[in-house]
Amino acid sequence: MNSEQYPRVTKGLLPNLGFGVGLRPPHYSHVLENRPDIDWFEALSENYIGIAGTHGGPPLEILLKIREDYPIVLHGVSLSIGSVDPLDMSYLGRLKELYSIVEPSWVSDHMCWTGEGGVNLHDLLPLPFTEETIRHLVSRVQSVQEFLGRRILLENVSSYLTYDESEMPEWEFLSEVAKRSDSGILLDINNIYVSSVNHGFNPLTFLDGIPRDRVGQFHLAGHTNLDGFLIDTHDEPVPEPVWRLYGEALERFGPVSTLLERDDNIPEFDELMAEIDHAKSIQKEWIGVAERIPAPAQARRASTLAALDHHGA
Amino acid sequence: MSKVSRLDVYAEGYFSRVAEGLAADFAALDRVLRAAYDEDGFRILIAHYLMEHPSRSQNIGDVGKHLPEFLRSYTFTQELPWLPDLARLEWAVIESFYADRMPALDLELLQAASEKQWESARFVLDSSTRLIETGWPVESIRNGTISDNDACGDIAGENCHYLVHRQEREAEVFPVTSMQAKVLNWIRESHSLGTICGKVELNADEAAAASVMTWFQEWVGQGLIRKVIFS
Repeated sequence: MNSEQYPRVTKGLLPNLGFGVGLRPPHYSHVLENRPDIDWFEALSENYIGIAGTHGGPPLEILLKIREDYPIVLHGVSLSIGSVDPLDMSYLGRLKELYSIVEPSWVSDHMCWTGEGGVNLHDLLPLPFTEETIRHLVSRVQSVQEFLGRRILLENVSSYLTYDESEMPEWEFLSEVAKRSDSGILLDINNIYVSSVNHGFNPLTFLDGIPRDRVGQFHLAGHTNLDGFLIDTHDEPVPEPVWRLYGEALERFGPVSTLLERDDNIPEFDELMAEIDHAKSIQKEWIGVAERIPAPAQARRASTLAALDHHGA
Repeated sequence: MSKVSRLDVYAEGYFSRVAEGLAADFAALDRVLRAAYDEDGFRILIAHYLMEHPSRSQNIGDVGKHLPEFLRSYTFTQELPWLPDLARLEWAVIESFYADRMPALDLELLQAASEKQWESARFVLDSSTRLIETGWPVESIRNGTISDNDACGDIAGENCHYLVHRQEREAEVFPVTSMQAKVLNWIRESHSLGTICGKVELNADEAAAASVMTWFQEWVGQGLIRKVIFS
């Protein structure tokens, strides 16, 4: 299958699943026992492919149990799409097997590289934003999509340094890769904010530079402030500037499936639900704004609002 | 922030992330190294370990698989000779936890078997089964029965056999006798029940020999024996 065989992206890359939470082991029991009122979960693919050649073990059994009641999205951290190492077909094979078992609503990873020479640094390392890198990525994304038989979403990462060699801003780079490879964008609002502070750009310019029809999901998370330098730690509640940027993203992209991430200092599930409620209130506020805007502009947004109504029903 | 400091965020991030993952997988090792040396004891070990065994897996959970072997030649902790076996036990628990689940044993098939069939029957152990033989009471150190301070003192060597097995969703460690460990190994080597009983009679005292069938019943009950092959 080549990428031309995918349905071409028009409006609404993916269905709006509503509001989800990143599924983490400390919450397994709570989710299984209480079935919290959340729309969907995002699970980290690598946690369910097993170790030492096994196939997922009890974590996968738990995920499948949760899958009975909730849509699941699978999010990877080790695709290393930007690496110069060959694509790891064994890893992709394990992902494909996992996808066939879990049947996720969609799958995603990051616009980054995670290692070189076969070594995995388990970090999301930034890429130089050049035409050469775009061509490299497009070819690899197409190969991955062809192998998996499905479109992938790639997430913008937080970064702490940039390359002198970069020829364009990140948003242009991200958009070009998505358009040319016919992939989607997982827009991490916190990562945009973190990078904007660390590198001194306007986060609204980032949002304005992203094609609306490529965005399939939002991520929300917190970060750590080290004397004005921001680290993407996912160990704090979503801070106010990120909430404000989320509102701006809703204004530009409409209601998109929104996922709250917490990877460290993980609180009780109810605390995350309070943040989800806050995200819902921001979206409601955005709908209020949308209803007051002039008719021609409303028509342009009709499809996304209809999707939201459908979800609400 | 300077360029070097920005680069350091990544350099430290790699180490911290892996060290944190390994501290969860080798919780007892982390604990005793803190007691024996200082708060950074485990992190220093991991820094050296990663230089020799950098992660080559997409799954950060795989990183610790060479740690027991690495400890055997790690000079800084030679005064704690049981550390490699403690790490081996902890890694066995991880492997056991993630093992693929096997179908339950068909008990009706067992009931229908004749005495002659039992004589030649061979058994398949659950894929989560791990057997550890060691000269140190590492499970007592792992579970805290022997305090970390005592463990880091002058503890006596002791031949121990442990069975690691996942029941439902948790891998557990069970001390077993030397003869039970031998029988489990013979099962793993695909010896028939008749052969195993013969070996027990030769190698064990009368009481142990009389217990063999009880052990088999318990292992079937615990889900340790997953398949019986009648030839």
